[in-house]
Amino acid sequence: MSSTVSLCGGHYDGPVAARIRPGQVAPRTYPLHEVARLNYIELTDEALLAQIVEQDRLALECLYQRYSTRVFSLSYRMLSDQGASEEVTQDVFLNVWRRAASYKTGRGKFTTWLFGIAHHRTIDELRKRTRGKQRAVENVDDFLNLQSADIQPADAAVANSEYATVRKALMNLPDAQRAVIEMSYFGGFTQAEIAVKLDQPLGTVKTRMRLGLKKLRVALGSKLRAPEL
Amino acid sequence: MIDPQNHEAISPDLAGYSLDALDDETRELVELHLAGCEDCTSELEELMEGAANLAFAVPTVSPPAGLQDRIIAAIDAEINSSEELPVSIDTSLTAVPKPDISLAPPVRAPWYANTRLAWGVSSGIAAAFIALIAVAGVAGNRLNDRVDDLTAQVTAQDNEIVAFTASLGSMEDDAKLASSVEAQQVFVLQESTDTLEQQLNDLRWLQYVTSVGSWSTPSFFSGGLQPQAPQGVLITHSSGDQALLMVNGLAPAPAGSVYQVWLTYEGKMVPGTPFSVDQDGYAVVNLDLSGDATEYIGVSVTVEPLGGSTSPSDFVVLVGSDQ
Repeated sequence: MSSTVSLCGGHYDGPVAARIRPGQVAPRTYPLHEVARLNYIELTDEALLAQIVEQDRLALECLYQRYSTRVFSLSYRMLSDQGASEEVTQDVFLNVWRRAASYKTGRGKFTTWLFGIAHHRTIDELRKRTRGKQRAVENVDDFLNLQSADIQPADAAVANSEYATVRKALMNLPDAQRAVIEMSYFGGFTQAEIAVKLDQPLGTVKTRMRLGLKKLRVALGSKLRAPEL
Repeated sequence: MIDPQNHEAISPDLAGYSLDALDDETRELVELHLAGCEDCTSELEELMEGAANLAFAVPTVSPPAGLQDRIIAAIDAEINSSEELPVSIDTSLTAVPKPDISLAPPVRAPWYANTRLAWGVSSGIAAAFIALIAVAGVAGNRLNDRVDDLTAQVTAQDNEIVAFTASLGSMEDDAKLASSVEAQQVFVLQESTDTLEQQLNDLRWLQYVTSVGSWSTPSFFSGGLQPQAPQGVLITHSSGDQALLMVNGLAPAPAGSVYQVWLTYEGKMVPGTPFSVDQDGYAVVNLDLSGDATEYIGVSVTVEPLGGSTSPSDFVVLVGSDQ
């Protein structure tokens, strides 16, 4: 088995200036294999996926760096379980690796495909945990707590902007449409379960879902952009 | 029971499908319907796009730092297990073995695809690498020529394999197939091509590494990293008794001193070869080790008196640990 060690070093002006004491954290530098990764920064998601079809592992690492936080966050929000969310995230990217060839470029954006896999896998986990249990929905009018000023994304300004944009678009939906979307997408309830909980005809729930999703798509359109490395 | 072809009955469930809000039975019905309904497939794409936006509506939480490595390790395991599959062509051809004619020509991963594994190079290649550094200009051109030659050769042989495989596919009789000259030629060509491919990968690796001029180009550094910071990579040979250290960006050692590399094993600092750097701060150091280089847990480079030392000074210029 061979291995690689990356060396971290500070700016070197001479032996005394470069002295690094035990426990001192040196600034990070790129080892050689990281340099190869940098060449992928300019590639689109779809181009990276094409590389993955050719068994290019670096391309997967780049997609992981672009989207792992989103995938993990979604799963964590739905499961409230760090370990399970890690498993889901791992499965999602392994799926990307194995199923890259099944992605069709003319059939929607990569992120739609990726988050579709992520959500489906999370829902599986959620339903596995709640099978046979009666689940309560305390506040169907605001499943994501959209009015709260306490919830803020932890990372960069881009994420903040995307986060705010989507939440604003959700808030602009009629309450009834937003409720069924949030209950299904984040709560993992089926449309039949939602109809019972809201005491609404199943057909009404289906219609609200459809209208709400179409409005979301129109409202957000090209406002969301892919994150950068 | 709803007929999967009943468009009017199925299409209202598309939104539920895109939100994963269907029970299993309804989901299967929708999937059956989608297979034959282009209108619903198109509408579903729109709905899925709307649903995917929702992933941005949750506060972000970073995944743990080790998760990426776990995923890559799982992928490595998959790659390795697929590489260990038995070859389906029997060289003896005594028991009417049938060559696996369904095998497409080998899909070759790009040389950089398996980067972490690719650092390990054969002893011969390692020695050649040192020689290349010594005469970088001439050897670099030779290396490029050799890579070009090998690439052409591998491509030509791949094409031959395709042609032979196609001719095998047209044969109907197993016995005829097994005794055919084509089957044996495919086998020989595959073996030969695999060997060439391995050489090619090693040479491309060297070609990449020897392009150190671009490695030290500041444009490679971003995100607040210091372009002048020294850096290095330690490459250990799979045999464990040899390692290569490459450093870049080191200022020349002060007069009367040299650099020296140290590997850390179980708390002990094992001295490596003293070395100096060229005008670009670049050096490649070949380390012949008595211990097992794959067991190291850390590496450092220090400034030492001419001739090197048996224990390190505290003038450390580079330090790193197994990642």
